[in-house]
Amino acid sequence: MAGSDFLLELDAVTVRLGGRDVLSGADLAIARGEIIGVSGPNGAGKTTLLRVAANVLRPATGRRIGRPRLAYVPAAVDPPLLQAGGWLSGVRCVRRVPPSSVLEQLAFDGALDRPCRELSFGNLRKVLLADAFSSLADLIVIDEATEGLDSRGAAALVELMVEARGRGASVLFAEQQTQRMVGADRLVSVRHGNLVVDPLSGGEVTVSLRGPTAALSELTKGAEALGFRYIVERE
Amino acid sequence: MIAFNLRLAGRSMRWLGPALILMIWILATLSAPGPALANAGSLFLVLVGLTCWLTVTIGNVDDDGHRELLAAAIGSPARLHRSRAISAYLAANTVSAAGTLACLVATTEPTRPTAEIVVVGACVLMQLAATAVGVAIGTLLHRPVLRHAGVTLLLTAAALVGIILLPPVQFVLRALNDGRTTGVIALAAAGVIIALAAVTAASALADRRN
Repeated sequence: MAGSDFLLELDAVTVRLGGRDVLSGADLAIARGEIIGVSGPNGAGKTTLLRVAANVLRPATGRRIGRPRLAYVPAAVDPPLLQAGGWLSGVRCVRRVPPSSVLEQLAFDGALDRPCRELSFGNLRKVLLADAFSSLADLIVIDEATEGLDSRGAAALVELMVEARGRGASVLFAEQQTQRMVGADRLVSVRHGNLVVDPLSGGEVTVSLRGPTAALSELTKGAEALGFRYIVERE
Repeated sequence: MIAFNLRLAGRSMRWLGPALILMIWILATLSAPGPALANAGSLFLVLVGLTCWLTVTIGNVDDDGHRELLAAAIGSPARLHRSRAISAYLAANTVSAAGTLACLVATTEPTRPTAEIVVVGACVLMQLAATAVGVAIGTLLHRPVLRHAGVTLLLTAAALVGIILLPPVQFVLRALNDGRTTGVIALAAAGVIIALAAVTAASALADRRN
């Protein structure tokens, strides 16, 4: 495994919180242009894994190899005190594309000139995602990726991840439920702090698509483009 | 990121407390003028506390999730911590400039032109020393390093009293009261060195914070 082939490698990473190992000896190599989905039950260590990858948490033991430019979307963020547009313009000086184009793609329907606290939870998530996907980041880390998103937003997120892969950026995202993991090249699970390769990886991946009829065509197109088998679950 | 930190802190309105205290001090000094150097001595004590408060305010302006988002954007929690300490230092010096101006305006002693430069220089150096010491204390006490507000409050009070009672600080303050500038340069230099050491230590702790 040559170091240069990977954007980021976690080597035997252990994280201790409150005296117990939340993550234990985790190995994960993220290649350039790879989308990795992380699943696992509540408290399994998904967020901890993502925080280590995003370089916001230093492991107790083990190594984090690689210094990619990062964008991290945490699962929960209190609305920042600024207007949404002002926040987006302040977080990063240089961007790949204007965040407004990503917001449009995500079907953001809030007002950028209003304070973030006035946005709905879903629209605030879209602002955070727009920040990440409009950035120059090589690695985009998203916790609870589809949390708060409507079906259009969720479909657009898959498109954005695939576009990011196309330009050589990597995406590491976490979801509670495996059926939401549309778009991932590889799935890993975290169980009791241990990283295991998801049984779906390396084989044929079947995903469940559920949502309003209008959005299903976009979801099925996305699933087909990624080579997934899919089951449509009508609401 | 420094401008962004300042905008966040500005919107939070938590700077209002320190600003009001400084305003009260300025009004009190203007209404009862004294020698400029003595004014600078009393301003030093006020500014250490105010800068500490401002540093904690800028450090604690957001929740953990937002701080982590920014830390990833800037590279690491340590870099974010440093940027916030610099933001606090700049903000404190901008606000404190009004206090230093008041020291010079509210003087009772007509001074010779040559002495004026020394007096102005001493007042500015005392301001820089006070803000550096304030940042040094504040940066070690805000949330990424210490998580409990009560502990932060107690340690802040203890650190402020400790700094003020330090013999070298007392020596400089007494000299200023006597109209001398002895030790001012050394105090300013020591303040900057202490601030750099504190920010480095706090950044390392912020990076390791689990």
